[in-house]
Amino acid sequence: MSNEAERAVSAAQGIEEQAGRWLESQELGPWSSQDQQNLNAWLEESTAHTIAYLRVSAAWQRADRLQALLSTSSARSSSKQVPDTSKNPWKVRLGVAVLVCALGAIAVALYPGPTEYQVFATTVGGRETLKLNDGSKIELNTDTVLRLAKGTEQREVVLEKGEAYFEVHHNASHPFVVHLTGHRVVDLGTKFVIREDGRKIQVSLVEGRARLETTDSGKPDRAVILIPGDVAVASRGSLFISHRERVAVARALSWRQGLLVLSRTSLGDAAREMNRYNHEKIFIEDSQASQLTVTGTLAVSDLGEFARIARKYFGLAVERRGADIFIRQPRGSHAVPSNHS
Amino acid sequence: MTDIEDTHSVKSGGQKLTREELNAWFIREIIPLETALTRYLRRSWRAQDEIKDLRQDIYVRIYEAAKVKVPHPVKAFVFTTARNHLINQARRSLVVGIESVADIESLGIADEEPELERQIIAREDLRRLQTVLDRLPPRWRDVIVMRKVNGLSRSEIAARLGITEPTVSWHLGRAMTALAGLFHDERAQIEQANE
Repeated sequence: MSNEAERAVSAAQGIEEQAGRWLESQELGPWSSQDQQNLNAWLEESTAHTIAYLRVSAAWQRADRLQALLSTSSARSSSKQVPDTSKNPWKVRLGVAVLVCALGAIAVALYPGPTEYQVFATTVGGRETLKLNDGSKIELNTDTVLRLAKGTEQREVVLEKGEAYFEVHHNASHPFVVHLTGHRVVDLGTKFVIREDGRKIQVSLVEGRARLETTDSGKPDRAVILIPGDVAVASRGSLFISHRERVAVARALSWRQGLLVLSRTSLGDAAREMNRYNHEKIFIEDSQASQLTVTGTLAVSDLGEFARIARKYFGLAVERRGADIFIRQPRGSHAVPSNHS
Repeated sequence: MTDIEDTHSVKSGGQKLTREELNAWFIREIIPLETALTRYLRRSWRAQDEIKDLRQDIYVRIYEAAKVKVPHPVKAFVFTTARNHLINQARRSLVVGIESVADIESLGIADEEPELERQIIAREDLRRLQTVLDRLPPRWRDVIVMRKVNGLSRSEIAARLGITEPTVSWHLGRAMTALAGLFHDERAQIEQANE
């Protein structure tokens, strides 16, 4: 009796371990159609096999939340600029594991140097799409300089300045890496936008996952996993991650249609955005006017429309000097009364 | 001696599902009940080392029944199946008295709104995941994190941990199996072989 019970228990455990082995090979490969056939045959063999397989794969899928767990804890610790001193030992361990991986990634993806690069650049107002050998796609926004590693692999890119949208064909054994000032983005199967303006970088994740790593020399390496909706803003020594609705992240992509989407954006910021795309610049001359907020969509090159909105809806004075446009409160008027004097 | 049939407790049936739909249904509707089911089994069955096996048998019965007709309401069906199975097992073994099979109603496992239960599960998920990771052997945790979070390949994991690729496979396969147990059964033991 007890013998039989023992055998029965080890049978259930044994089936689960078999299921674990199937999932492991499916997860890490190689996985051929022959493997799939073998798996199907195993699943058909008995309902117990199917159950075990479903149970283990459900748990494995559930562990996807690990990314969220990890990215929230790293975001918290990075904005505070202190190492994670959690009493929870595994958190520290996770940190160590990530660090180990980050260091490993350096060895895998050697920073530009000996590699030969091909330079792609767009002018102010320009836009260009690069199609890579592996099926990945890069779209360059206005005034952008990007270097692409030469050779068949083309999995390494340096974004010198500007903004680019990446649709990366994932290859686990050969990660796609974007180098930035003091940081690096490693895709884990992704669509994302990166903007580099010299002072700070902004990474918005549209789909999939990506890993953002700091590569500042002299500082401890740090890695954060970004999930869709995450917007990371990093500059020398600081890293903030906010999570936005997908619509808001989609807004960061509107330039691909040549549009600027403003949502409660200050006129000053809107003008700065417009100026990225045009040789003719807009200047908002007083701070009161630049703090007015505006919501709407307009073509990135449509300076006339911008001026019209300023004049018609905000009652501002618009003046053209040369090619540039100057906007300010009309003289003598104080459109925004102040409560405190 | 005839076994108690599960089908008579089905109040109303759903449509017939394809294999894929059936698998998705099982993951969506049945697996989330595992914690409650395991608790019920532990309370009702003396031989604790048989729980895993009993659960698997019950799952098989549920799955087989759903092949014919999708049971509804699900929760009542799961626990009725569980009780019937325990009674049948008790009769067979003649060791455990039938009275040791606890009454479903006394356990407060009424047919709650399953949607609500799933929401709670979603909210509890992160906390649960953390506890689960806490209990895993460090090596297993490492391979899970490297795969899930860093998306590393087998060879990359092997290089970082300084172990061979087959060893990575072994660790990850076992870690996956262990995850399934830990997620749903707080008293699950990790059966870890020596490295």
